[in-house]
Amino acid sequence: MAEAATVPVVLGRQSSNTPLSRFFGFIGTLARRKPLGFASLVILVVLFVLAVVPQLFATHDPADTNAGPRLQNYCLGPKDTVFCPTSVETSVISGNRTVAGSWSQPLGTDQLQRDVFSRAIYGARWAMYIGFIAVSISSVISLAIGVSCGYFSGKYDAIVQRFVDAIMALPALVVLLALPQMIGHWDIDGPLPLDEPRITFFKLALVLGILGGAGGSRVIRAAVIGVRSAQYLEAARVIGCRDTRIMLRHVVPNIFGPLMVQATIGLGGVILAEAALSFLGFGVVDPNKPTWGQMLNQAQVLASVRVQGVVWPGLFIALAVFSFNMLGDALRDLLDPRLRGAKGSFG
Amino acid sequence: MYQFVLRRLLLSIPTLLIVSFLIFGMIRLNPDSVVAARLGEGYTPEQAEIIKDEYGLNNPLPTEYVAWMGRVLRGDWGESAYTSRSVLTEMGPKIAVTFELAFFAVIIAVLIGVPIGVFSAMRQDRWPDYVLRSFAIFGLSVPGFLIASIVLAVLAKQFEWIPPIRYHGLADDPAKNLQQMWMPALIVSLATSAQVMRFSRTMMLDVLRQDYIRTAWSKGLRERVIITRHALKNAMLPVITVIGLTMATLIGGTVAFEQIFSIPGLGRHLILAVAQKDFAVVQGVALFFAFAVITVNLIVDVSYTILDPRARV
Repeated sequence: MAEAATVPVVLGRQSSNTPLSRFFGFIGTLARRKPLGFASLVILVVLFVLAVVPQLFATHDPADTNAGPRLQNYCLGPKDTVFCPTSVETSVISGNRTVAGSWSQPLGTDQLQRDVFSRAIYGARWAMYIGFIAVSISSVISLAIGVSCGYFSGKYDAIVQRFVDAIMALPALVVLLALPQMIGHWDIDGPLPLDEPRITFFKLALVLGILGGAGGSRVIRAAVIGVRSAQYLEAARVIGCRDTRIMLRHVVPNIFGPLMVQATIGLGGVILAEAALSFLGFGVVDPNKPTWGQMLNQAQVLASVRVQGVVWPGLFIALAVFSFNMLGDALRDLLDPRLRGAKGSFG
Repeated sequence: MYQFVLRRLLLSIPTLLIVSFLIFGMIRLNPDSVVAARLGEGYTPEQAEIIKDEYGLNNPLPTEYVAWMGRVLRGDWGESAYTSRSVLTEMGPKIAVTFELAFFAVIIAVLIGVPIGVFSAMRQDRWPDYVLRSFAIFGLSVPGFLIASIVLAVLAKQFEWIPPIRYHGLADDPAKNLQQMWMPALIVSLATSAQVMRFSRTMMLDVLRQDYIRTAWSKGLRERVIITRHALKNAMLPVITVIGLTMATLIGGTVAFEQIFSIPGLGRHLILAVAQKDFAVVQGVALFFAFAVITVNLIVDVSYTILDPRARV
């Protein structure tokens, strides 16, 4: 009996086995084995908090067009360093000035006199909003298609896979550019010039989710095929479980790892896609709901005289996507049994 | 093997049909917007009927799809509502430009990604590996269009250089063309090379753990010989697949870069057509992109079977 007690090697702490304690045990493992992945998780939690309660951190209303003089660059550090360059642009068009630091406007103002810092904070809200909705939709789709195809295989699989092929062959950006135009008058997210393409965050997330779901189903299908011949499935079949029960209770929990990895990396991809679309000027255009891509789009016009405008929103995009990618990588290494014992998994 | 190639070829036909139906249906989701795009806001119902007849919007979707597919197969992809020229003739030179950009980007990505990936695998878990991998993930995370606009901004400010408005074709003026294309191609390739690097590292690590590599070490071969003769050959096979697949995504993924560097490729063509609500052109470009992706996937799959004797069953 003494040996038996030492047999279960639990990743986290032993004894209690509630989902919550297992979750914290897993976070502990992540912190110990993957410091970079854990750091990414911390960054993402911060971004998530910003997304939920941006009003606690933003110093101004993101749509307030009177936050300060146009196009100011505020010093972030001592004078004559990279944080506070003294090169003063005297262009009349840009009105670009560098002034002494101010904690309420650390990133300066844009061409409409709005506070860049507050807009970037609110941008986290829309990035997370689109990301989580799109990834929830794509996870459900990829689970439904991937599990049923992997489990039943045969003719059903062959037919459904052709549809998956077709959706994967659709160039995502083309669909995103063309769809709002084709559907015409979608709902307006706030006041807009009437000839602008209209698209709401939710519809954008829906399209991104459907497109992502097709690609994701391939990964899930491969994972299901990997566990299909497992003995526990055979045992379940022998005791007379129905297919739906086997799929939901036995297959899905066993492919949870790949699903999580897929979702985490997908979140980064969705944020990047939204940014690209907004950057091209075809995303959600609503001054009250700033996104990072939209900020990039507006700053790009003046980028040659004022690079800062492009750098700040770009930094937020890069940070969010980097963290999701890093966390996804770390999760893959921890959750994939083939890689679990492998050396060299610092990231 | 021929059986496999034939089977793979036949399987891509239903995919093509489905994807063309999706594109066809997407354009026809809202017939009113097609009419509005041609006639502006104030139009009479009679005028609308004429336009709807012209575009076949009154017939049931399947009937119209079959008729449209027949025209597409005969090479009649409709004509642009703005220039009244055939969609296919307008697309021709632009396809070449986008293909050139994607091709250069893939070449640069391989030249950067494969050596770094192999080196990173050879030094696994030592500092060069960490540094290179972090760079790779960073390259994957920073959007390429952001790098492009920052690079252009800095160039404009420091050297007063802006991308030339006039485009020189590769056939007309190779020197000027390359001068114009190398920077966009390099920036497009950054994310791709990060992907290639990560994948070749994984594949290399996989191969380096194999028994025949240990045998090679125990025979006393030098590292250079083991890597180039024994490991690379086996590790590069799946990498070729990934390179092919990135080529497919790049053909549809250069839209933002063509816009930033004002390169007259398919992406710019598409953005213009979308802004002008030129439905025939949008449909044509989308169809071409989908066709290109399916063809590249087919080529990759088939070449994999030819290259890898184990896949030949």
